[in-house]
Formats: sequence, C-alpha cells, structure tokens
Amino acid sequence: MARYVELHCHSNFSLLDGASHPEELVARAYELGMPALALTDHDGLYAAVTFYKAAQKMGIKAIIGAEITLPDHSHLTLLAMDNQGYSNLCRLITHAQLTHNKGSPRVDEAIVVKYSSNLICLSGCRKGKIPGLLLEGKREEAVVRAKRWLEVFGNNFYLELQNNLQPGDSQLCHDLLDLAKSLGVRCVATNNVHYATKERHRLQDILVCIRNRVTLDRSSQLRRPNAEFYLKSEREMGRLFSQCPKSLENSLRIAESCNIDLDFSSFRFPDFPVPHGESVDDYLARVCRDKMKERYGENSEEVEKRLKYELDLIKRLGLSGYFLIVWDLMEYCRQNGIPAQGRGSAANSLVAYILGITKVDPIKHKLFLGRFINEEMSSLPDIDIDVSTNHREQVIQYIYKKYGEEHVAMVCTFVTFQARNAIREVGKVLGMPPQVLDQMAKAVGSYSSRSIDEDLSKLEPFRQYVTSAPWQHFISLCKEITDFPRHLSIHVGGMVVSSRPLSEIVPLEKATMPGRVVCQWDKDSIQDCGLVKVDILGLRMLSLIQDTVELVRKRGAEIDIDKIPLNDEEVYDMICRADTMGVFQVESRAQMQTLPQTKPRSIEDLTIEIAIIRPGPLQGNMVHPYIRRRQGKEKVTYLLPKLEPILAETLGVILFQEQVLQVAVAVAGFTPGEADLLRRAMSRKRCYKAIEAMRHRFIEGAMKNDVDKKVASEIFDKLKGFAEYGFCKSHAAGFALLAYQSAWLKYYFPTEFYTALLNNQPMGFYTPEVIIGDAKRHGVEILPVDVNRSEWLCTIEEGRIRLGFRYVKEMGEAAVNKLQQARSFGPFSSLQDFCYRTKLNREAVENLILAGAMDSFGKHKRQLLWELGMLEHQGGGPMLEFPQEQVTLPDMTELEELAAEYKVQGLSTKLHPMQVLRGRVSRGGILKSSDVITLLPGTRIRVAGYVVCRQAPVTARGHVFLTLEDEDGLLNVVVKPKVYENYRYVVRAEPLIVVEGVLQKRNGTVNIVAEHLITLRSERQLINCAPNARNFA
Amino acid sequence: MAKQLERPREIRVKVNIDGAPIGLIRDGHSEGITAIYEHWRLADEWWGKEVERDYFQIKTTTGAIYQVFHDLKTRRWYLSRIYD
Repeated sequence: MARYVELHCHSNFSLLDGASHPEELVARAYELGMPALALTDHDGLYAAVTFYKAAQKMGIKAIIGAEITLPDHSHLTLLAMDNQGYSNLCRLITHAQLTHNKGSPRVDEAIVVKYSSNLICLSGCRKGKIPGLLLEGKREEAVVRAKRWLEVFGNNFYLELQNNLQPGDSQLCHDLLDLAKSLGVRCVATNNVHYATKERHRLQDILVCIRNRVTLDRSSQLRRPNAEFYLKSEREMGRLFSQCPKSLENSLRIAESCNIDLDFSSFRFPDFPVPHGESVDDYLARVCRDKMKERYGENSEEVEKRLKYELDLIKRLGLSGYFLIVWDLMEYCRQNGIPAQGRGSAANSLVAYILGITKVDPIKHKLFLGRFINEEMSSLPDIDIDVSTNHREQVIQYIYKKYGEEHVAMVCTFVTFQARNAIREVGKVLGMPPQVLDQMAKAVGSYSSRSIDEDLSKLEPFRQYVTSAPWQHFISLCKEITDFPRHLSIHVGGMVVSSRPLSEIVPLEKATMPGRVVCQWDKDSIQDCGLVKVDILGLRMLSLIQDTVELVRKRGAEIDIDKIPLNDEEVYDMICRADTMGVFQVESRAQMQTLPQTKPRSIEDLTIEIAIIRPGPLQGNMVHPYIRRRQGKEKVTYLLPKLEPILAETLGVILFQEQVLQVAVAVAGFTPGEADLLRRAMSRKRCYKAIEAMRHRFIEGAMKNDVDKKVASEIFDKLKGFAEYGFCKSHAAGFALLAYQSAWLKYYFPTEFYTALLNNQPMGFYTPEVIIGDAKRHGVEILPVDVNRSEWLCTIEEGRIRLGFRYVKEMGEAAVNKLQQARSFGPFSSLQDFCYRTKLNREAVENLILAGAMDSFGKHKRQLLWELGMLEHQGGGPMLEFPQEQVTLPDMTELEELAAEYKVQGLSTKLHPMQVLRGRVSRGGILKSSDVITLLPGTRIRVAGYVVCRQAPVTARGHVFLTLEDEDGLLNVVVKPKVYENYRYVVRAEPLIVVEGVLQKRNGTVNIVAEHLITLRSERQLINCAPNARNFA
Repeated sequence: MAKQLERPREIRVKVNIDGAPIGLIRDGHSEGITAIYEHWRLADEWWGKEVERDYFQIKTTTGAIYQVFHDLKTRRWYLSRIYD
C-alpha cells in the first residue's frame, strides 16, 4: 500500500482542462497502490458520482472535493470529511454558481466561512492566494491570509506543497514550509494532477488551446511548461519532497479523516401527502384497487395477481411515493386538458396503466415487467412522460410549485467530443487548414472518433496523409479526446425531485435559459446515487392530435381519441399503402418503404413496425429476416428451442429490449436484475469493457445450461448489436397507439389533420411545402394568406385550409396582433386603408403583397408594390398621402409569382415549381411521378424534381436515399455508393435535379436506382428560393 | 546579473543516482557542485521539434553560479547561463 494519497486531482470534468476520465484516474491510483484518491474539479462536482462508483469498484476510497474560485480569481482546495462536509461543499458551489454570471462561479469569503464545517481546506495551487502572495514576495500578506483560514478551518487547514518542476517551485515550497513552521500549520504534498499518465500532457495542451481559442504555436504562455502534472507514485513524490516527508504522511492522515457515502436514496422523493393513518404503500394500493375496477371490471384473476405482485414489489423497493408523485402529475395534466402519456418501460407496469400514467394495457400486450422494475433493481425505474409541446413549460412550473424551487432542478447532460467536433477542434489547434477540416468532418462516417484512422484511410483525399507523423498526432489526439465532456447542457426533459433541498445533494448552476436552474449531474449520476428523475418531454404529436380533435369539435363532431376503434380496416389499408405523411413514427422514407412489405393490420403489428426501423435492428441485421418471415418467404427458426416462446411474436428475431432481458434469463440463467444490468451496459456510453465482462458471464452461464459455446456467442452478438438503440416494446406500443390515432385522424378528418400539422411545424420528416403537396393530393384545398381572413395559425374556412400569417416572413406574433386589432373595426378595403390602420413596417406589407394576401383588393401584385412604394413613410409605418400619379404595370408572370411566394413564405399554395418548369424540362423525355406507376420494373427512365429529403444512414453502407417531389407526388431514388462517388456534389447539395436510372418495383415499393444525376441549375435559378431539403443521417 | 550564452555550450557533468549534477568540467577544469538552488523541467513543442530538458541552477566549488541543462533526448549536458 502506498504511503501517499493524491488530494488534488482534476478529471476531464474540469472542462477543457483535465485530460483523463475519472475512471482512468482511479485505475492509475489503483496501479500505484494508493488507498484513496481525491477528485477536485474546478467549481463543480460533475463527476463525483462516476468517480465514487469507479473507486468503489476498485476498492479505493473516494474523497470528494473541489477547487473553488474566490472573487479575486484565486483558488482554494476543499475536501469533504463526511456527508455534512459534502453538503456544505454543494451549498458553497451552488452559491458560487447561482450568484455570479454563468461560467464565472465565485465563492465569497463569507460563504466559505458559513459553510466551512467538516471540510478540509488546502491552500491551493500556484493560483491559490497564499502561494500567489509568496510568489510575489508578499510574505506578510500571506501570513495574514493563512491566519484567516486557520481561524476558519482550525486544524483542518493545511498548506499545500506542490513541486511540478516549474521554475520557482522549489523556492515556493521552501517559503511555504517556512510559513508553516512559523504559524504551526501542517503541510501536505499534492501534485495538482491534470491527467493520469504522463503521455496525456499533449491532450492537456490541446484542451487548454481549445479553451483559449488559440493554436499550439501561439499558446506558450497559456500552457503548462512540462508534463509533470500526472498521478505520481509515492517514490516520485518522496523524491520531490525529500525535505519534508511529513507532507506525504499528512496526505494519508487527511485521507483517513475523509469518509463519505453518496447514497441519497433516503431523500429520493418528497413525502406524498396521504390521508391520515394511511401509509404511502396502503394509499397507493387503495387507489390502484379502486381504479382497477374502472379499467377491468370485477374479478379478473390475472389482473388481481399481477397487481398484487407489482404492489408488493413497489412496496419492497420503496417506490410507492414515486408512483403517487407521477400519478399526481398525470392527474394535473388530465384535469387541465394537457395531453400527456407515460412513455418507455413504465408501460410494462400494470400499476402505471391503472393509474393512467400509461395508455398501454400490459396484460393484453404481454409486457415483461422486469424491464421496468425487478427484485434486484440496481437503480430506480424511469418514468418518462410525453407532454404536448405547447404545455411542457406549464407542467414543469407545476412541479416547481408543488415541491418547492429548492427541491426541483433540471438534469444536465454533457455534450461530448465525437468524430466531427474532435476533428474540427483538435485540427484547428494543430493549425490544420479549416477547409481540410471541414471536408474531413463532413466526410467522416462514424459518430465516434474512436475509429477515426480507419475512417480516414478509406477516404481518397486523406488516405495518403494518415500515416505521416503530424497526422499521427492528430489522429491519436482525436481518439484520446473521444467522449470527453465539452460543455454542460440541459437534458431534454429530465427533472430531479428530492425531499431534501437539492443544493445539499448536488451543486446547482444556471442554465442558458433565463431563470432555469440545472444540477451538475447527468441522468446516470442521478440514478447511481439513488435519486429519482422524471422526464417531461415535449411531444409535438400530442399537440397535433389535440389540435386536430379541437378543430373537429369546432365543426360539431366530438371525438374521444382514447376510445376510437383500434381495428379500422380502412385506416390500416391507408397505412399499408404507405400513405403516412404526417403520421407519427411511420412517415419516414424507410418506414414508407417497409409498410407495404410488412402490412401492419393491428396495434401489435404497428408496435413491431415502429421498433423495426431503428438503428438497433438495422445494425443487428434483423429487419430483412423479419420482413421475409412476415411475408412467408423464409421459415421461422430459432437458434435454440427455448427462444421460441420469447421470440415467437417477432417471428424469431430480436426486436424489443424486453426480449434481450428474457433471452439473457432463458439462455444464460441471468436473473432479471442481471439481465437489466446487461441491457443498461449495452445502452450506456463508455461501456465497452463492461459489455465484454458481461459476454464472459453470458457464455459461461449459457454453457452451464448446455448451450453450445458458439451458439451462445452468436446470441450474445445479436443482443449486443441490437441493444444500443432498440426500443422497448412498451415504449413502441405507446408510440404505436399515437401512430394509429394520427393515422385515424388523417384518414377521417384530413382537413383538420393537415391544418394541425401545419400549425405544429417544425415536426416530423417533411417540410410544410411537401405537406401542402400531400394535402392537395388528398383533395384538401389550400387557400393563400389573406389580410382579411387569415389568423396567426392556419384555419379552416368552409372545408378548406386558409394559410396562417405564421408562414409569412416578417409577420411575427406582434405584427399579427396589430393587424387583428385593426381588423376588429372592419375588413380592410385597400392597400392604403391597410397601411393606414395597421402601420406595419414596409417589409411586412411587401411580403403580404407577394404572398397574395392582398389579392382580394382586386389589383395585381406589381401594381400594389408600386403603390406601396409611393406611400410616404412617417413614424416607421407607411402613411396616407396617396400619390396622384398612376401608372399601369404588367402583371407578374406565373413563374415570378411562384418565386415571390417561395421567397416570402417558403411555399406556394397554388403551384408546384415543377408545374411551371415542366415545359422546359419535358423535352428530354422526362416523366412525371404519376407516369412511373404504370411502367414495368427494369425500365430505364428519367425523372426530375426537387430534393425534399436526403438520407445517408450509417446502416445503409454508403447508399444515399433521395426523395424527389414533382407536381404529382414523391419519387424514391436510391444512389449506390459508386454512383454517389461520381455525383457527390449533385447528390449532397443540388436542390433541383434530373435522375436517370432503372425503375425498381418490389413488394409494393417503387424506387429509381440512379445511374446518372444532372443538376438543373439554370431552371433552378428561375425560382431562386427552392424548397429546402431536410437532411437526415 | 546573469549572462545568457549566445549558444548553450556542451559540458561534461557528473551526476548522482537520482540524476542530479554533482560536478562538471568547464574549459578543461573540473568544478564540484556545492548547491542546487533550483531544478525545473521543460517539455514542449511535442508537435514539432520536441524539447525535453532538465534545468538546474547550481553553485560550484569556485563560487560560480551557473544554469545548466540536461537534454533528455540526446542525454547531453549544456551550460546556458552564467551568473555574476
């Protein structure tokens, strides 16, 4: 056992400063035989839980501390001696973060004094006040400062000796020792560690440069002068501090006095108010039993049995309060008409279903509870709630109000370095040309920079460089920086709620959104320390469904969307035709290609459909086998007979996370808890080693069950390939319900559906322009914006959709309010009247003219623009004073009008650009999308259109998929890798193209396999503002 | 005052077990080292012409104070500064 413990150590959660992961530091400390290790990141405890867990695993004591910043920018090292000290540290950091500007936390001295108990204070690095004063030769002032900390911290104050072999370090140590002697203060040696091993000093230099936005060549004053800031052994430290061996002994003494436990499960959630004399468990059970009757009626033995099992489990795990809190939240939503539904694995639970948290019946759908909760839960279950996007903030405010601001915070997330930003930022620091970096970042296929060398060696322009010395530096640094946190961001919906004020458990800091507070832990840390997170996620589809139902109600029909029949053949026919634009989860190109093949005819089929087009099943090569089996073209087989009951519903392939768990239980004898650990390891980041350890355990377990080693390994690979991005069945089932509901509304109430879809943009896969095309093809008429008829949102006018002002540029909500106020006195009769009464700015009026919003005044657009130009401007808005002189101007051509509409609102309600351009391109035998339907497969054809979607999924191995739109509909184009190489720019950037290729018709899907692609640049220039394509990875 | 040599001059140095200098030969004369005032390390420019040196400020038996460095790449010793 080493006789030295490092007490001043930064991980990479000292953002853009520390150059090792917390786990790497722990592993190195273990190698060096240290019995303990402290983590002292700057002004934060971001990595405390990760570090604590890693240390626990290695049998090392974790000391939690931080290097805080005082108002004069000086540093001070604080270490928590116990949980009281830890809470003080949290309060100190919270104060520093919340009372100062974001990104510049400062702890006032008074606060240090207030929360000094049970903390050990070390005088800090060279940036500490005392060493700083000594370096400046101000010994007397240093004495005063040291006496002050001595007064505050008493025996817990130590002078910190650091010798990183920088010029002046030996003298500074000498002065500090002298000071210690004269004041009777103890000294402790530390090494101001910024990386686990020496080699990482290069990455530390890079991080410093990224932080300061300079290149390496220009950073000599900012970087550390050498590579001595690594975790040193007892021997190395002993040599550096031979004049004061006591300072090493003191590190052990301090380590012995620090003992904390980061288990906060006893504070996990606020006490839920229950009727007098009843426990939370009893109350939950009573509520469930009452509601069970509403859901299932009397005497359902199966339901009774499952409910009892769940309630017992929930009671044993101490989760009754959690369920009640979420129930209360859902009740609030219900009472306030806020569309909300539980998502994710919670839908496996009958209790969640009975309480109305989820909408999927777990009994009917045979959902496996173990994915949500199980006996050996290593962490708390997650209940995620999808809320209509329009109401998300309202729900968040309710939680703040209900439990108190002190007890609620948003969970943070760390934006990490991955292939693209690693290439850009590391390359920039190394002084590589920006255009090369840009090209490389765009070309590199993988998300992670872990395999960047392989990626680059496959790309022609870079292949030749990869092996050269400077590029070797670049590549290895990009790999090293992988997964490093870059900056903190707010989690999309995670909120943490606790019974104890959160600032005593985890430091809080300002989020970018004004007034919003975020805690310093991400969801994994929150889970690992026993706290509970509730995810409140904004889901636009919920808003869309509610808006559609509301519009239908306006026309006099009432719909209870939760009670619509789920077996409507005509709705499924529409889905099977892939007529699904706007339908939740099944509208993407990939989904549209699959639907005619899988032909879903029930909610169960839709559940599979939603789970299948995901990276998990795609990467695991499970999609095609499923489709073939579904079509009866392949026999349903199982790798082992015991997999049949688990995989029968998905025809022998693994499609759901629940199946991963069930397979692990059946094949390798895992307990449900272990199986869930396996799934979690597979779905978490930075877990390659954990997965490999699991593989060993899996294969061993399988062999004990008489499973052949090779088969076991094959099954494990299938699980691994899948688990990372797969859906859980309960989640897919919840989404399937929304998919069906939206399809049902689209089929029966298309006008209302498209109106709501246009009003909830941006959402989904397609642009408003494409949605309007689809609406028209469904017989829905779209009317242009009109100053006398339009509202902010799109509205329904005698069965037709009137476009809202929200689509016209320069017409913000304030401008629309002005207009509506003016209109409340009567309709506008002329341009002059409009300008006089609304006083809108010239750009807004001009855009309204170009959008056709003033066509009803009986003058053509050019005339109106001329008249607008002649109006004199006073006080910011055009005023009366109408000109005497009148001129006659020619009307705009069809093409000019179209170009104007695209310019001011990004779409046209009247024409598709291809309608206007058709005459120009038809000479080359170019067909319309409607012509293609009747042709035989294998025919060589030419088509033209606007690119509305581009997709190059990693799973497609170099294929690019384009969706072209012409006046009659959509066309799917497949660009194979070789063709893509020849037409890379046309494919990636050109909006209007001609595709020549071979028609492919297979299983109800139509594709054009491209051979040549030609840009129609001159035609495109006629309509300058082309529709924007949406690009998807 | 210290005089920085225009170009560091190679010298021969005797070291102890820890690699610290205990004697040197300058202009053919040997001098014992009586004190090491300061020792620091420079490691820089790893992306180009990498430098890795151990610097020592020392006093010798002649009473002279020097700055010498050990180039850790070439393992050679140099005199870089003479203090008055």
